Amino acid sequence: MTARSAWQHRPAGAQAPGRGRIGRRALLRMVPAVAGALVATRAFAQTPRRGGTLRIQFSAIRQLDPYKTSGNNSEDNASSLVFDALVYLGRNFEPRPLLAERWETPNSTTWVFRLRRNVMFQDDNPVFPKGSAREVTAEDVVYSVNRFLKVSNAFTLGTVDSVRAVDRYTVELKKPSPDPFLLSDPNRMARVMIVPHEAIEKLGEDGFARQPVGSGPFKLRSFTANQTVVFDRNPSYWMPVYPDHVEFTYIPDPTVATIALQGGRIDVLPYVANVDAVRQLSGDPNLRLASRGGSFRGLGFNVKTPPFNELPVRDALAKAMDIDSAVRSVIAPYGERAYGQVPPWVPFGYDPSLKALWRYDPHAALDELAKAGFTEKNRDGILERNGTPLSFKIKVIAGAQVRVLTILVTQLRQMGIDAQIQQQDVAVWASDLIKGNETGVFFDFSYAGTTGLYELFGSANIGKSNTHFYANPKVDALFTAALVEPDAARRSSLWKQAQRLIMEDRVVIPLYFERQYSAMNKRVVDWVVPWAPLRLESPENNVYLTS
Amino acid sequence: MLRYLARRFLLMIPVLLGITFIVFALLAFAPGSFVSLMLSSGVVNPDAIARVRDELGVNQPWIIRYVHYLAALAHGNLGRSIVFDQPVAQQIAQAFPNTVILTVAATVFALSVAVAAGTVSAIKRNTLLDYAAMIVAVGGVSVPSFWLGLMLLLAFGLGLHWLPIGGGGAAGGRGGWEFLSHLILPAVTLGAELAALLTRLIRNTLLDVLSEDYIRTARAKGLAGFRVVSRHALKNALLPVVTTVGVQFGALLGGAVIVETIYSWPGMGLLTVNAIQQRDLPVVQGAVLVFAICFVLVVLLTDLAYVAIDPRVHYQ
Repeated sequence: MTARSAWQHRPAGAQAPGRGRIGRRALLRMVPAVAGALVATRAFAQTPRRGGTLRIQFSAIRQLDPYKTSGNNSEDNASSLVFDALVYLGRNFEPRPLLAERWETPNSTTWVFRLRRNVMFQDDNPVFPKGSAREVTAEDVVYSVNRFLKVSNAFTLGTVDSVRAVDRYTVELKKPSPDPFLLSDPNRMARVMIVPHEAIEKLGEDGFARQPVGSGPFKLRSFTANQTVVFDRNPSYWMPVYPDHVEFTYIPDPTVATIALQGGRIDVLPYVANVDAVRQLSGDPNLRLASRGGSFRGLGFNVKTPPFNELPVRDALAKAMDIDSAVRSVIAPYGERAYGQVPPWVPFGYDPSLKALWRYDPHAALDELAKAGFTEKNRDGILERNGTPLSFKIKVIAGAQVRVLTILVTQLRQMGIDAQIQQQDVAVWASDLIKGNETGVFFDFSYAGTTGLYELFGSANIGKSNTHFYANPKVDALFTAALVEPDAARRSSLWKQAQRLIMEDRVVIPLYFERQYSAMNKRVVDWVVPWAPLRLESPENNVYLTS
Repeated sequence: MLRYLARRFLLMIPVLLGITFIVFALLAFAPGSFVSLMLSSGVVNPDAIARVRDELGVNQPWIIRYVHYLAALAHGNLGRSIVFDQPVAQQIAQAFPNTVILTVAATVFALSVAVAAGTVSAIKRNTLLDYAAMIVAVGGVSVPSFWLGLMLLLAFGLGLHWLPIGGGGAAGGRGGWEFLSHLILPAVTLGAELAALLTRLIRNTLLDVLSEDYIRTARAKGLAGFRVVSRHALKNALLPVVTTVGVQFGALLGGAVIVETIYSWPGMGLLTVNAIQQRDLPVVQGAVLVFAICFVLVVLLTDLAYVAIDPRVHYQ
């Protein structure tokens, strides 16, 4: 009963007992009606509303084949509207069913996926004329996995022994060795969008990249590379879809994108470029911020480069810097201090007890450096050993980390350590780090996802992502065991042990985790920050516009 | 004249060969690579990395790679983008018309403003009009294009909502006002500095020409002031302007990257800078080749324009 109907049906005794006054009993009788009105209003506000055009910023979209995005976030996000994968990563980063209703692992090297029934590919396109759409079957999954293994230009499933359709709705995938991250890593099964073979056969590879056809919540309406991409709602999608259209608007410059959002020209900025932009947008009453995931930032050491091949020197540097104050000044509250490489949002391996390993103690730092032979000899204020000053450049790329490092470098100089910042282009920085080209100390960065610890510190990745040139047989043994451990608790324990050894070795000084934000107009409801492909519709969220 | 043209076209070949050689060599030795970017960004597909290495031919000496590149070029093949896995020619074909449109529009804007302001300034020398025009001209040369672009965007795009804040280009089937509305702000931003430069140049050259004897004669014959300036003075003042526009047109072609970024105008500047940042070598090489051809053609057209303007100029 609404408030209005309750008042119309009010009992006779609800009249005001005196002039201008409402009696206590009358007031009490009104409470249920008022409460009912409030509940009704609240329910109305939360009811998804169909309609509208959701306008999302993008920085570069040249093609829409989900397997050929080269890791380009904009292309991933746009193409993911047209397709579904078997699984997606939920709000808490756990794999959740999408096209696969459920899955089983009869043993550690076999996965059996049971598909959702009556999911149809989109029709009214050059591949499936109107009314001729067909159902997604296990054969489509087999085709898609094989195509992904063949043409994917960024991600991989590793070695797959076989993938086959057991029956119309069941797929069996086998690998030669256990892979506990197959579903939980955002760059593995969650990337395998299910595509119809007819689309590739009829349109060709280049044609498919311009006219993708899938089973997703939106159909492509028009695509002009690096200008606009417009999608229409897929009326036959297996979940409700609320926006009529989704329009991707090309705005490559982050400053202009921020202005466009604040001016109401776009609805969503999927990735706010940096902490300063987040801070600026957080003060806008018309906008809302959403956060999910982020990245790890630290000071890494090339442990082959003297004097950083000595543990006491690395330890001394860790003690010499007041990292908390630097992070508080620049990053907070849009990030948090890190004490390990694994962030709190990853479902395994996060270890808050690592905090005890790090302390700011400049006196102890100087003592340790003195024991290592670094003292101030010639009154130039710089510590030296055997005539060689303790002097280095920290290679870093542009971002808020430059300001954090500037504070830290100032602290180091006050102690007689001649540290400087060398800002580089991303490609040069990456190349220098991978080759170990004059890298003693460098800005360490990774997207803090599932297997980042192994990528950064496993000896098998030296010359690739292990730019520390760190090789510890104990750590490698822990990684080897964890990477094939099917039991989640045991895997987490192994991961934590490996991380502790790495931190005790001072291979990296963790600085902070910078959170990833999306910014959006308040009319956008239920947006989830993309981590792996964007999901506007999923069993957990369903984006709609309030006006 | 035909022999002159043929000679100029033939001379283009060694010039372009030289440019491709220098660019190829510089890129071969430049630090950083797309492979290192892939590895640092978490791309772990070893097949993808091997494919990129193969396409780039990193295991071959760079001079061998250059010869292969020239051989492909002789067949009209500019290669494939290693970032987007698309033909370079296709990407350039999408971006190049947008840059030409923007550059031509900026030049037309600059010339229109400069001829008007420079002429008025010269005729009304040492008056308020002259001083105002010169102050604006100095301002136009001094103001950085990224600042001007953002200010125009804020004022006309977001403040007044008169014009869109970005996008545009030749593709997408836009016509009429929709197309023009996307072009106005980028063209004004890009052309502002050239307009300022040309205003001062036209003023100064016109002042020289207006003091010539034949101008005095024309006035003495009773010709109207407007006719004296437009038919006699301006034509003679235009030669240095033509040279400047010719040189600046080439610079505008390559230097529109800031304007293209601010206004999301999908042109060659943005394509090239992104390719450089991502070390997409085939796209960089293709873009540089296209810029070089354009620049050489523009210089040729500038030389030919002299013939049209000044009948005393002959080419043999």
